[in-house]
Amino acid sequence: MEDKALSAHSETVTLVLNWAALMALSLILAFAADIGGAARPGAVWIAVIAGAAAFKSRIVLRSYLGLAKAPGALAGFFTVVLVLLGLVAVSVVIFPTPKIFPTPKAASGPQAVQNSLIHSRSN
Amino acid sequence: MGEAVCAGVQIQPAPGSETGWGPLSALPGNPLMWVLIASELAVFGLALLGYAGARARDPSGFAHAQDQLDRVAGTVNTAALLTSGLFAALANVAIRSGLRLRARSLLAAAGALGVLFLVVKAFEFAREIAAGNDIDSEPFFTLYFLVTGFHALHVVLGLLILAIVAKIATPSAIETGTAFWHMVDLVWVLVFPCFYLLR
Repeated sequence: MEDKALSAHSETVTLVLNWAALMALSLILAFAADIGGAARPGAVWIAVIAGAAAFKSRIVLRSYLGLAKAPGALAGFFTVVLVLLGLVAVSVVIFPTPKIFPTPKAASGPQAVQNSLIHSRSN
Repeated sequence: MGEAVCAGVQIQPAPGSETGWGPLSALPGNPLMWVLIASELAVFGLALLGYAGARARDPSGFAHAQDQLDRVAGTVNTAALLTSGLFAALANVAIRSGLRLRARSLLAAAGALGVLFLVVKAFEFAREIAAGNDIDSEPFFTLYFLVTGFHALHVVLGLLILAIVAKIATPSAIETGTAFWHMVDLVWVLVFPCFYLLR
Protein backbone atom coordinates (compact mmCIF):
# COMPACT_ATOMS: atom_id res chain seq x y z
CA MET A 1 0.00 0.00 0.00
CA GLU A 2 2.84 2.34 0.97
CA ASP A 3 4.74 1.30 -2.16
CA LYS A 4 1.70 2.17 -4.27
CA ALA A 5 1.44 5.63 -2.70
CA LEU A 6 5.16 6.21 -3.16
CA SER A 7 4.97 5.15 -6.80
CA ALA A 8 1.97 7.46 -7.38
CA HIS A 9 3.88 10.33 -5.77
CA SER A 10 6.98 9.80 -7.91
CA GLU A 11 4.80 9.50 -11.04
CA THR A 12 3.09 12.77 -10.15
CA VAL A 13 6.43 14.54 -9.65
CA THR A 14 7.72 13.22 -13.00
CA LEU A 15 4.56 14.36 -14.79
CA VAL A 16 4.73 17.85 -13.26
CA LEU A 17 8.41 18.20 -14.19
CA ASN A 18 7.68 17.11 -17.75
CA TRP A 19 4.79 19.57 -17.94
CA ALA A 20 7.10 22.36 -16.72
CA ALA A 21 9.60 21.46 -19.45
CA LEU A 22 6.83 21.50 -22.08
CA MET A 23 5.54 24.88 -20.92
CA ALA A 24 9.00 26.42 -20.73
CA LEU A 25 9.85 25.25 -24.25
CA SER A 26 6.54 26.52 -25.65
CA LEU A 27 6.84 29.95 -24.05
CA ILE A 28 10.51 30.42 -24.97
CA LEU A 29 9.79 29.45 -28.58
CA ALA A 30 6.79 31.76 -28.84
CA PHE A 31 8.73 34.74 -27.48
CA ALA A 32 11.77 33.89 -29.58
CA ALA A 33 9.54 33.70 -32.66
CA ASP A 34 8.73 37.38 -32.27
CA ILE A 35 12.42 38.28 -32.18
CA GLY A 36 14.14 35.59 -34.25
CA GLY A 37 11.28 34.92 -36.64
CA ALA A 38 11.03 38.55 -37.66
CA ALA A 39 14.70 38.68 -38.59
CA ARG A 40 14.29 35.39 -40.51
CA PRO A 41 17.78 34.06 -39.70
CA GLY A 42 17.22 30.93 -41.74
CA ALA A 43 18.21 27.33 -41.25
CA VAL A 44 19.39 27.61 -37.64
CA TRP A 45 16.12 29.14 -36.48
CA ILE A 46 14.11 26.54 -38.40
CA ALA A 47 16.19 23.72 -36.88
CA VAL A 48 15.65 25.14 -33.37
CA ILE A 49 11.85 25.27 -33.84
CA ALA A 50 11.65 21.78 -35.37
CA GLY A 51 14.02 20.39 -32.72
CA ALA A 52 11.97 21.89 -29.90
CA ALA A 53 8.75 20.53 -31.40
CA ALA A 54 10.35 17.08 -31.69
CA PHE A 55 11.52 17.23 -28.08
CA LYS A 56 8.04 18.27 -26.93
CA SER A 57 6.49 15.42 -28.94
CA ARG A 58 8.85 12.96 -27.28
CA ILE A 59 7.81 14.16 -23.82
CA VAL A 60 4.11 13.82 -24.72
CA LEU A 61 4.68 10.33 -26.15
CA ARG A 62 6.87 9.14 -23.30
CA SER A 63 5.27 10.74 -20.28
CA TYR A 64 1.65 11.67 -21.12
CA LEU A 65 0.90 8.72 -23.42
CA GLY A 66 2.87 6.35 -21.20
CA LEU A 67 5.07 4.92 -23.95
CA ALA A 68 8.03 4.84 -21.57
CA LYS A 69 6.69 1.36 -20.74
CA ALA A 70 6.74 0.36 -24.43
CA PRO A 71 10.15 1.45 -25.80
CA GLY A 72 9.56 -0.13 -29.22
CA ALA A 73 6.35 1.80 -29.75
CA LEU A 74 7.97 4.99 -28.43
CA ALA A 75 10.79 4.62 -30.96
CA GLY A 76 8.30 3.95 -33.78
CA PHE A 77 6.00 6.88 -33.04
CA PHE A 78 8.92 9.23 -32.41
CA THR A 79 10.55 8.25 -35.70
CA VAL A 80 7.33 9.11 -37.53
CA VAL A 81 7.20 12.50 -35.77
CA LEU A 82 10.88 13.17 -36.54
CA VAL A 83 10.48 12.31 -40.23
CA LEU A 84 7.39 14.51 -40.46
CA LEU A 85 8.95 17.53 -38.75
CA GLY A 86 12.18 16.96 -40.69
CA LEU A 87 10.38 17.01 -44.03
CA VAL A 88 8.45 20.19 -43.19
CA ALA A 89 11.59 21.91 -41.84
CA VAL A 90 13.71 20.91 -44.85
CA SER A 91 11.05 22.22 -47.22
CA VAL A 92 11.12 25.58 -45.38
CA VAL A 93 14.93 25.66 -45.69
CA ILE A 94 14.85 24.77 -49.40
CA PHE A 95 12.08 27.28 -50.14
CA PRO A 96 12.93 30.13 -47.76
CA THR A 97 10.85 33.22 -47.20
CA PRO A 98 12.42 36.11 -49.10
CA LYS A 99 13.78 38.91 -46.90
CA ILE A 100 11.43 41.29 -48.65
CA PHE A 101 8.20 39.77 -49.84
CA PRO A 102 5.36 41.45 -51.73
CA THR A 103 2.09 41.95 -49.87
CA PRO A 104 -0.82 40.18 -51.57
CA LYS A 105 -3.39 42.31 -53.37
CA ALA A 106 -0.83 45.16 -53.48
CA ALA A 107 -0.59 47.32 -56.53
CA SER A 108 2.21 46.43 -58.88
CA GLY A 109 5.14 48.77 -59.50
CA PRO A 110 6.80 51.17 -57.05
CA GLN A 111 3.83 51.12 -54.62
CA ALA A 112 4.14 47.32 -54.19
CA VAL A 113 7.85 47.61 -53.47
CA GLN A 114 7.21 50.39 -50.95
CA ASN A 115 4.45 48.29 -49.26
CA SER A 116 6.70 45.28 -48.94
CA LEU A 117 9.52 47.38 -47.48
CA ILE A 118 7.14 48.88 -44.91
CA HIS A 119 5.83 45.40 -44.09
CA SER A 120 9.34 44.00 -43.77
CA ARG A 121 10.37 46.84 -41.40
CA SER A 122 7.26 46.41 -39.24
CA ASN A 123 8.31 42.81 -38.61
CA MET B 1 -4.59 -21.38 -22.17
CA GLY B 2 -2.92 -19.96 -25.25
CA GLU B 3 -0.31 -22.76 -25.40
CA ALA B 4 -0.18 -25.26 -28.22
CA VAL B 5 1.14 -28.83 -28.22
CA CYS B 6 2.72 -29.94 -31.47
CA ALA B 7 4.25 -33.42 -31.85
CA GLY B 8 4.46 -33.67 -28.10
CA VAL B 9 6.37 -30.35 -27.77
CA GLN B 10 4.71 -27.58 -25.82
CA ILE B 11 4.97 -24.29 -27.72
CA GLN B 12 5.01 -21.13 -25.63
CA PRO B 13 2.90 -18.27 -27.03
CA ALA B 14 4.73 -15.17 -28.23
CA PRO B 15 4.73 -12.35 -25.66
CA GLY B 16 1.43 -10.51 -25.85
CA SER B 17 -0.27 -13.06 -28.04
CA GLU B 18 -2.24 -14.46 -25.08
CA THR B 19 -4.45 -11.37 -25.25
CA GLY B 20 -4.85 -11.64 -29.02
CA TRP B 21 -3.33 -8.20 -29.67
CA GLY B 22 0.27 -9.28 -30.28
CA PRO B 23 2.78 -6.43 -29.90
CA LEU B 24 -0.07 -3.94 -29.34
CA SER B 25 -0.65 -5.52 -25.91
CA ALA B 26 2.43 -3.71 -24.62
CA LEU B 27 0.73 -0.36 -25.19
CA PRO B 28 -1.15 1.32 -22.34
CA GLY B 29 -4.95 1.35 -22.63
CA ASN B 30 -7.09 -0.38 -25.24
CA PRO B 31 -5.02 -1.37 -28.32
CA LEU B 32 -7.82 -0.19 -30.62
CA MET B 33 -7.27 3.34 -29.34
CA TRP B 34 -3.68 3.05 -30.54
CA VAL B 35 -4.86 2.03 -33.98
CA LEU B 36 -6.95 5.22 -33.96
CA ILE B 37 -4.01 7.30 -32.68
CA ALA B 38 -1.75 5.97 -35.45
CA SER B 39 -4.45 6.70 -38.07
CA GLU B 40 -4.96 10.24 -36.79
CA LEU B 41 -1.22 10.88 -36.81
CA ALA B 42 -1.12 9.68 -40.42
CA VAL B 43 -4.00 12.00 -41.41
CA PHE B 44 -2.53 15.09 -39.71
CA GLY B 45 0.94 14.13 -40.93
CA LEU B 46 -0.26 14.10 -44.53
CA ALA B 47 -2.05 17.42 -43.98
CA LEU B 48 1.20 18.98 -42.71
CA LEU B 49 3.14 17.59 -45.66
CA GLY B 50 0.45 19.06 -47.94
CA TYR B 51 0.95 22.37 -46.15
CA ALA B 52 4.72 22.18 -46.75
CA GLY B 53 4.08 21.45 -50.43
CA ALA B 54 1.67 24.36 -50.83
CA ARG B 55 4.05 26.70 -48.99
CA ALA B 56 6.92 25.70 -51.29
CA ARG B 57 4.94 27.16 -54.21
CA ASP B 58 4.46 30.53 -52.52
CA PRO B 59 6.79 31.19 -49.54
CA SER B 60 6.12 34.96 -49.63
CA GLY B 61 2.35 34.63 -49.60
CA PHE B 62 2.50 32.09 -46.78
CA ALA B 63 4.86 34.26 -44.70
CA HIS B 64 2.60 37.26 -45.14
CA ALA B 65 -0.47 35.25 -44.14
CA GLN B 66 1.37 33.70 -41.17
CA ASP B 67 2.23 37.17 -39.90
CA GLN B 68 -1.48 37.86 -39.61
CA LEU B 69 -2.04 34.98 -37.18
CA ASP B 70 -2.34 35.76 -33.49
CA ARG B 71 0.73 34.02 -32.06
CA VAL B 72 -0.23 34.93 -28.50
CA ALA B 73 -3.57 33.13 -28.91
CA GLY B 74 -1.73 30.13 -30.37
CA THR B 75 0.64 30.09 -27.40
CA VAL B 76 -2.23 30.37 -24.91
CA ASN B 77 -3.88 27.42 -26.63
CA THR B 78 -0.65 25.43 -26.49
CA ALA B 79 -0.39 26.10 -22.75
CA ALA B 80 -4.07 25.19 -22.27
CA LEU B 81 -3.74 21.84 -24.06
CA LEU B 82 -0.44 20.89 -22.41
CA THR B 83 -1.81 21.70 -18.94
CA SER B 84 -4.98 19.85 -19.76
CA GLY B 85 -2.82 16.87 -20.76
CA LEU B 86 -1.09 17.04 -17.37
CA PHE B 87 -4.46 16.89 -15.58
CA ALA B 88 -5.52 13.93 -17.74
CA ALA B 89 -2.27 12.09 -16.95
CA LEU B 90 -2.70 12.85 -13.23
CA ALA B 91 -6.26 11.46 -13.43
CA ASN B 92 -4.68 8.20 -14.60
CA VAL B 93 -2.38 8.15 -11.59
CA ALA B 94 -5.30 8.95 -9.26
CA ILE B 95 -7.61 6.20 -10.57
CA ARG B 96 -4.81 3.62 -10.31
CA SER B 97 -4.44 4.64 -6.65
CA GLY B 98 -8.18 4.11 -6.18
CA LEU B 99 -8.93 7.85 -5.85
CA ARG B 100 -12.05 7.95 -7.99
CA LEU B 101 -13.32 11.40 -6.97
CA ARG B 102 -9.87 12.93 -7.48
CA ALA B 103 -9.62 11.29 -10.90
CA ARG B 104 -13.01 12.69 -11.89
CA SER B 105 -12.07 16.19 -10.67
CA LEU B 106 -8.83 16.07 -12.65
CA LEU B 107 -10.71 14.96 -15.77
CA ALA B 108 -13.13 17.85 -15.26
CA ALA B 109 -10.17 20.26 -15.03
CA ALA B 110 -8.71 18.75 -18.21
CA GLY B 111 -12.07 19.21 -19.94
CA ALA B 112 -12.38 22.82 -18.75
CA LEU B 113 -9.03 23.64 -20.35
CA GLY B 114 -10.21 21.89 -23.51
CA VAL B 115 -13.21 24.22 -23.55
CA LEU B 116 -10.85 27.19 -23.06
CA PHE B 117 -8.89 25.97 -26.10
CA LEU B 118 -12.08 25.95 -28.19
CA VAL B 119 -13.10 29.43 -27.01
CA VAL B 120 -9.69 30.90 -27.90
CA LYS B 121 -9.77 29.10 -31.26
CA ALA B 122 -13.25 30.48 -31.97
CA PHE B 123 -11.99 34.03 -31.22
CA GLU B 124 -9.03 33.43 -33.52
CA PHE B 125 -11.28 32.20 -36.34
CA ALA B 126 -13.65 35.15 -35.85
CA ARG B 127 -10.74 37.59 -35.89
CA GLU B 128 -9.31 36.13 -39.11
CA ILE B 129 -12.69 36.11 -40.83
CA ALA B 130 -13.34 39.72 -39.74
CA ALA B 131 -9.97 40.67 -41.26
CA GLY B 132 -11.11 39.18 -44.58
CA ASN B 133 -9.05 36.00 -44.24
CA ASP B 134 -11.64 33.33 -44.80
CA ILE B 135 -11.24 29.76 -46.03
CA ASP B 136 -11.29 30.88 -49.69
CA SER B 137 -9.06 33.93 -49.44
CA GLU B 138 -5.59 32.38 -49.74
CA PRO B 139 -4.12 28.84 -49.85
CA PHE B 140 -2.54 29.41 -46.42
CA PHE B 141 -5.88 30.24 -44.82
CA THR B 142 -7.61 27.35 -46.59
CA LEU B 143 -5.10 24.97 -44.99
CA TYR B 144 -5.14 26.85 -41.69
CA PHE B 145 -8.92 26.65 -41.32
CA LEU B 146 -9.07 23.02 -42.50
CA VAL B 147 -6.25 21.65 -40.35
CA THR B 148 -6.87 23.65 -37.17
CA GLY B 149 -10.65 23.29 -37.61
CA PHE B 150 -10.28 19.51 -37.97
CA HIS B 151 -8.07 19.51 -34.88
CA ALA B 152 -10.70 21.55 -32.98
CA LEU B 153 -13.27 18.90 -33.93
CA HIS B 154 -10.98 16.33 -32.32
CA VAL B 155 -10.91 18.47 -29.19
CA VAL B 156 -14.73 18.38 -29.16
CA LEU B 157 -14.67 14.59 -29.58
CA GLY B 158 -11.99 14.36 -26.88
CA LEU B 159 -14.20 16.32 -24.47
CA LEU B 160 -17.01 13.86 -25.11
CA ILE B 161 -14.67 10.90 -24.48
CA LEU B 162 -13.35 12.51 -21.28
CA ALA B 163 -16.93 12.95 -20.04
CA ILE B 164 -17.75 9.30 -20.79
CA VAL B 165 -14.65 7.88 -19.09
CA ALA B 166 -15.17 10.20 -16.09
CA LYS B 167 -18.62 8.67 -15.69
CA ILE B 168 -17.33 5.09 -15.98
CA ALA B 169 -14.22 5.92 -13.90
CA THR B 170 -12.36 2.61 -14.16
CA PRO B 171 -8.56 2.48 -14.64
CA SER B 172 -8.77 0.95 -18.13
CA ALA B 173 -11.49 3.37 -19.31
CA ILE B 174 -9.57 6.43 -18.08
CA GLU B 175 -6.29 5.14 -19.52
CA THR B 176 -7.91 4.61 -22.91
CA GLY B 177 -9.87 7.87 -22.92
CA THR B 178 -6.93 10.00 -21.86
CA ALA B 179 -4.77 8.37 -24.55
CA PHE B 180 -7.07 9.98 -27.14
CA TRP B 181 -6.77 13.32 -25.33
CA HIS B 182 -2.97 13.10 -25.37
CA MET B 183 -3.08 12.33 -29.10
CA VAL B 184 -4.95 15.64 -29.54
CA ASP B 185 -2.11 17.27 -27.53
CA LEU B 186 0.52 15.61 -29.68
CA VAL B 187 -1.10 16.75 -32.92
CA TRP B 188 -1.24 20.35 -31.65
CA VAL B 189 2.45 20.16 -30.70
CA LEU B 190 3.10 19.43 -34.40
CA VAL B 191 0.51 21.79 -35.93
CA PHE B 192 1.40 24.86 -33.85
CA PRO B 193 5.04 25.30 -34.99
CA CYS B 194 4.20 24.53 -38.63
CA PHE B 195 1.44 27.13 -38.93
CA TYR B 196 2.58 29.76 -36.44
CA LEU B 197 6.36 29.61 -36.14
CA LEU B 198 8.12 27.96 -39.09
CA ARG B 199 8.71 30.54 -41.83
